[in-house]
Amino acid sequence: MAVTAPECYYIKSGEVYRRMDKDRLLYLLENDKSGQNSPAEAEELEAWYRSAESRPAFTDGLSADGLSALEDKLFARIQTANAESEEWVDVLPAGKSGWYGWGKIAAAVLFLIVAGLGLYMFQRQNGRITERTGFGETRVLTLPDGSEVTLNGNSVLSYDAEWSELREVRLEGEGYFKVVHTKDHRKFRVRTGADFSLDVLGTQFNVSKRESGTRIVLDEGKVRCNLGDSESDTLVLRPGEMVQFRKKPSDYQRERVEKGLYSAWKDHKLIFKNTSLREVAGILRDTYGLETDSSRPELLDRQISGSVPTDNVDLLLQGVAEASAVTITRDGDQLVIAPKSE
Amino acid sequence: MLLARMQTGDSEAFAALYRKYWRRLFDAAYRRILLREESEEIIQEIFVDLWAKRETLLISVSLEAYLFGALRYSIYNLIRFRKIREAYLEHLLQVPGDQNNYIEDRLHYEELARALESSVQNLPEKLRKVYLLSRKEHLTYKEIAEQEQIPVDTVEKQMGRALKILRENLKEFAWAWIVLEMWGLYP
Repeated sequence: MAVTAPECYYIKSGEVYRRMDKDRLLYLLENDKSGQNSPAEAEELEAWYRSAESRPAFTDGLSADGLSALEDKLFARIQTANAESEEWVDVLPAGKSGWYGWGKIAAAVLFLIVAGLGLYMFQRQNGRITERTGFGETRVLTLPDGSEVTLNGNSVLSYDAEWSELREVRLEGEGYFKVVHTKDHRKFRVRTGADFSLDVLGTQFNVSKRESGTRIVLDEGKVRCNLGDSESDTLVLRPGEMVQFRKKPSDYQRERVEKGLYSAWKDHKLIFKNTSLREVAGILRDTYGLETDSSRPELLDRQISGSVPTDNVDLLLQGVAEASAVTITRDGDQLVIAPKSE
Repeated sequence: MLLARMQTGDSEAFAALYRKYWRRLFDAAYRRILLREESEEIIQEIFVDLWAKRETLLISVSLEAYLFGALRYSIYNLIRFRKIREAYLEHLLQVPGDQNNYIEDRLHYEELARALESSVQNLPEKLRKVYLLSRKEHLTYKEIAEQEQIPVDTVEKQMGRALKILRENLKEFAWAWIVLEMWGLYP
């Protein structure tokens, strides 16, 4: 039987090495990085790497058109990244040329921010434009440079009526940005607090600042987060990565997440994947102004997966209730979660 | 010598090197991770990195060995940094003959080809001509310039504009694809 999975075994000096499993592979890779693999271990890793040669060549199964589509798509991405990395070299101070691969022109970032209100105050001086949305309202705004922002419910966006070199907006709440690339490559910055901002060059992204912490999810493209005042304290996000922190940006955690999961609200739906009712309650509070109460707090630990529409709050609540097998009663802005009555 | 030309900043030499190696690199990446997007990302980074380091790069053995070494390094990192979910990694290691990903991922490029084809058809006449000469006939910008009796930098600009338009169109396509994948996950 062992013969049916030849790449999982290899034989050396008459010894049969065990089947490669994920823990073994991760172990060998860690050792490889630090150069601590024994010769036998190095050979085992090498054998695994080589064994994949027995799999078919992916591109052999493509039609001529499919093949050139892949070739062109990849090359277009490479060219764009090359062009943009050279722009960044120009934009950034000397000695900071490491920003290669600012991949695609378009990026979709989701950015959920929660830090206490009053972390900074919106300036309401002359020449400053402030846009607000009410609970449950979404609105599409066009900025002076033609960039577009979709504001989610209970959010505030403000910016100077006249931008100087830097295009900067401030956000409290949540928004989805489509940033246009200017001919002179002016930076676009979203600031959510004195200690946190995000720089992009012509991307689409989604930002939100809420009460429980800050969360950024990048679906596509690349974005740089500025974690503090210092130029060097930055973090580049790659597609599919999420960064979140509670209060201090420097205490961030980075992980991989499902693409699109966090920006679905823009298309009038919410997608949950093993999301606890506690998190759902947070969204209902931040975006819809609904407070949740339950005599049985352990119900809030229930997790739900699925998608619910957001354009009708009652349907949303009904979907959440069904997915988590609870009853949700609404009285004005107050929700009560109870076990499902038989 | 393409490598030497590329190292002096010749973008045509860079493109020729890309055409020479991308396919074998992509196949080598895909065989090991069976993921289309991650394979694309790796190949992209290898070439972006090659271009960025062109002036300082010292190739001791051969460019080929360098590229495949970089590929191995990227694949190792991808797994080490858990960019591949552990459950998937298990699957990757234990199902050697699985062809499901191949079928689905190949279908993606066939769809992409169709979307690309219709975008190319909709390009303005001049841009379309330059694009097709470059991508289908594999003419260099210089050869296109001679054939079309226009300056080389005009060819470059037109190609840039054509690619920009196509990218815009394909971007939407890519997004639609992600949405479709999402709905597959959440019936």
